Amino acid sequence: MNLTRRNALRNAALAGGILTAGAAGLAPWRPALAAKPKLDIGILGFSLAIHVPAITALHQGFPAEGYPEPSLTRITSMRVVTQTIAAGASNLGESDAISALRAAESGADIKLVGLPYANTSQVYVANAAKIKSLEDFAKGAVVAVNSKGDFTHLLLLGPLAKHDIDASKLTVIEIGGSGGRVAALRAGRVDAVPVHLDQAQQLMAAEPGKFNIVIRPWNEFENWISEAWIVPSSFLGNPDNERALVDVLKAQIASFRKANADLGYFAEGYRNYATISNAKEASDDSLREIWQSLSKEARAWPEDGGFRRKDFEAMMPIWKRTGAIKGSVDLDKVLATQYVEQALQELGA
Amino acid sequence: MRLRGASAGIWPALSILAGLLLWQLVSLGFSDFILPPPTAVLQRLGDPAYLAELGAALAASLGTMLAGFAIAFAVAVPLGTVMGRSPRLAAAVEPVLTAFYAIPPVALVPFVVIWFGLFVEGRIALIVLMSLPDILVVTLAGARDIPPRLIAVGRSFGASPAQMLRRVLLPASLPFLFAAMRVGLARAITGMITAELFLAAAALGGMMKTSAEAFDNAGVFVIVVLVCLLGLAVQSGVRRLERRMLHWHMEENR
Amino acid sequence: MRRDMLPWNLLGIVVALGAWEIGGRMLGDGLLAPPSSVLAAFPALLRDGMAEALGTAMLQMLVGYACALLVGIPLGVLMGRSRMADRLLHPWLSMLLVTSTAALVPLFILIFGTGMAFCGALVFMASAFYIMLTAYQGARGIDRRLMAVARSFGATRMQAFRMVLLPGLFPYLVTGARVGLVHAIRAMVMAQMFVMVGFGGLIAQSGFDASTAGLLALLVTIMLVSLALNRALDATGHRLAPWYRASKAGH
Repeated sequence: MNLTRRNALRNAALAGGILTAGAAGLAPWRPALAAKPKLDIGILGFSLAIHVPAITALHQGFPAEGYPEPSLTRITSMRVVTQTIAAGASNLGESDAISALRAAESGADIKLVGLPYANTSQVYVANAAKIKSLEDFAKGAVVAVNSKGDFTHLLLLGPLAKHDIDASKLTVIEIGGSGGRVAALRAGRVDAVPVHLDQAQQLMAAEPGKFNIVIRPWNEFENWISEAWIVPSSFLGNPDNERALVDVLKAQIASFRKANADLGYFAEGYRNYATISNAKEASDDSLREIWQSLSKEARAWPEDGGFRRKDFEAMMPIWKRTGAIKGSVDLDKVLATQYVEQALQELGA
Repeated sequence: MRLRGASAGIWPALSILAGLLLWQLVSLGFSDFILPPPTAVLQRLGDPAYLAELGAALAASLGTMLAGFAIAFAVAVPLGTVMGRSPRLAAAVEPVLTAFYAIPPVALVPFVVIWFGLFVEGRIALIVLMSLPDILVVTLAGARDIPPRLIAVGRSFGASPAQMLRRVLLPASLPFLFAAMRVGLARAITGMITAELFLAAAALGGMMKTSAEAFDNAGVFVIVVLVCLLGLAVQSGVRRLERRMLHWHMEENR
Repeated sequence: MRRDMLPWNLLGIVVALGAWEIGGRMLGDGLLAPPSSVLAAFPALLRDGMAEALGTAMLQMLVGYACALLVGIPLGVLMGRSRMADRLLHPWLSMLLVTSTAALVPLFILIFGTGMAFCGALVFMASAFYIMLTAYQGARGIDRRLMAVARSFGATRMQAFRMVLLPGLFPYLVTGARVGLVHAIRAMVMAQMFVMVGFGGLIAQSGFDASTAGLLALLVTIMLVSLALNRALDATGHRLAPWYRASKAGH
């Protein structure tokens, strides 16, 4: 269990004047020999194809190193995952890199330590009757995103800016919850929404010809950054924790390499851990197309972990221009690349 | 009378003050990323530009809430009154109503989007869906409670069904109507904020979402507290109205 | 609900199902799956472990609900019988009644994590104040003269409570318990939707399905559970206090 959340609750009790005596004695009881800590990890509500290698590593590769099975908690909102890390309520969190940087700008003491995947599998699905290509967005359209300025919103603004397409006639609305967004697209209430590639395929199979994919971000950008692993800075103070983090990243990068080399490994992970209807019945063959897109085209599971400072530097102007972050964040303080580097060193090329 | 009213007003105020103090103490144990202290929330209200934005959002939210509540009330009260007098109709509607009542409003959102869209119509629809069942249940209980003697008297004077409803049934269920109004308004306020958060973000819910995305927890709590105060204002407003109307109602019956 | 009304109960259900079937056929499975498609979706859901998920969810719900009853009823009765308690507690009741549990989910996750404590707290928050409100209305409505008569015949405070207050209060307590239960069930499912576990997790996942049949099947399941639990509470009410039926029949 996380010591920090207990801390917070304990302090609350203290403040209320309830547990004053008992709480003071808690700290010295902490066991000193917990060499292989049990990690408390917050992950996003949906685990889709692109998440599969990382999630498989947390379930298989990491415990195989002698660690207790980590406790994985799903939270549908990326912002809330970031908040739990900022508050020190879990050890490791999968979150939106931009929201993490924004939290750091508003004073959260957190560090980005790696990527659960590189690039993205989010695509823009549009109503085929209205939007067939990027250029059609110039004529005006209603687009639903989770929140303005998040990375799904930027996935639209970025390509439009790159191709000099006028975005002034776009109406962007915020709908919290993917169910509401998809329902809105289906009912013709909005013209385009961002969804993961596997969800897009499912939508398009449901009503053939009604929808099409208009933006595949990996065709537009070299190294798009969407999600990152974040930790509370306090977590890194302890050498046991740092060791555990390196082992998590090692297991994950090894899993990336296996998934790239072996469709079967990916497909098995998908059947076990993907949170999408009928994932359990998916055959290797039915997954070949999405595996091809993610592994080969989007290079979502880079053999070197894909966590590079220069990619963040390249993204900063886009993030700043769209107002996603203020730009006051100091990458030196927030990015901690040494854990991925150490993992790579130990793994060997 | 006036004096007593004033002294009665002190205790609720003291109670709220004590609650704020407790909140301030508890918040010491939490990071500001989780629970900001009430002082931080109050501080936000010092900015006039923010206050203006808040006022506009509150007005927009209130408009939608009242529209939704009015529709729900206008449908549920006559329906509930008729159901209360017709056991068969009640028996037919009740199981369906109870079943529908069990659906979490957030799960209704996709259907509201499909049928009513994402904007004002959708928000009003969600508010109606969330408050109508509660109003109906209370009105129904009230209509069942009307003494048969009253109805017999109405009949014997040859009242038409419309006259019965207006002259006998409605006045007799007035106390229940206020209960229905209280519960219905509480649900309508909940529905308002739910709709603004989960359909296209708007008004108070939209401000709450924007603050949350910027990790501005004090901003989130401004809205939470404002909605609580709205609840308090509406409930005591209805209470006051009830006292006045019921007073008048008793005088007239005397 | 009385037995001789059963045909009318059924009629209402049949009419509703019929309207839904027609509407569903017109709109198609993608927008509103008709009951016939929904029925066909059940086997796949049962295979995905819906029944177990439901059982666990309801057990967790009962914990939060029980706490809500234990807190809501005494406080409500106290408010109804004591003017001072009413003054101190009423503002809180009015304020907390309108808090949207959906809006509080992020805060509750941060404070309570995502496990049992989170679900329990959310269920408590959603149901306790409705229970309290009903108990309050019941307790306030009991005739003061009756209590005075009981006391003047030498009844102790406890006896007066048992013989006068409780019988009059009982229908309200059962009503409060029933209203609270519905709120509790809804809050439980919603809590799970946000942390993608159990039954609510299945609902959240079904948003991407080609057909709304799966989603509607899950919602129908929740409706049936709610109806059954409601009936069970009603029956418990009758068993515990025969006068409960009498006071209802008097209407």
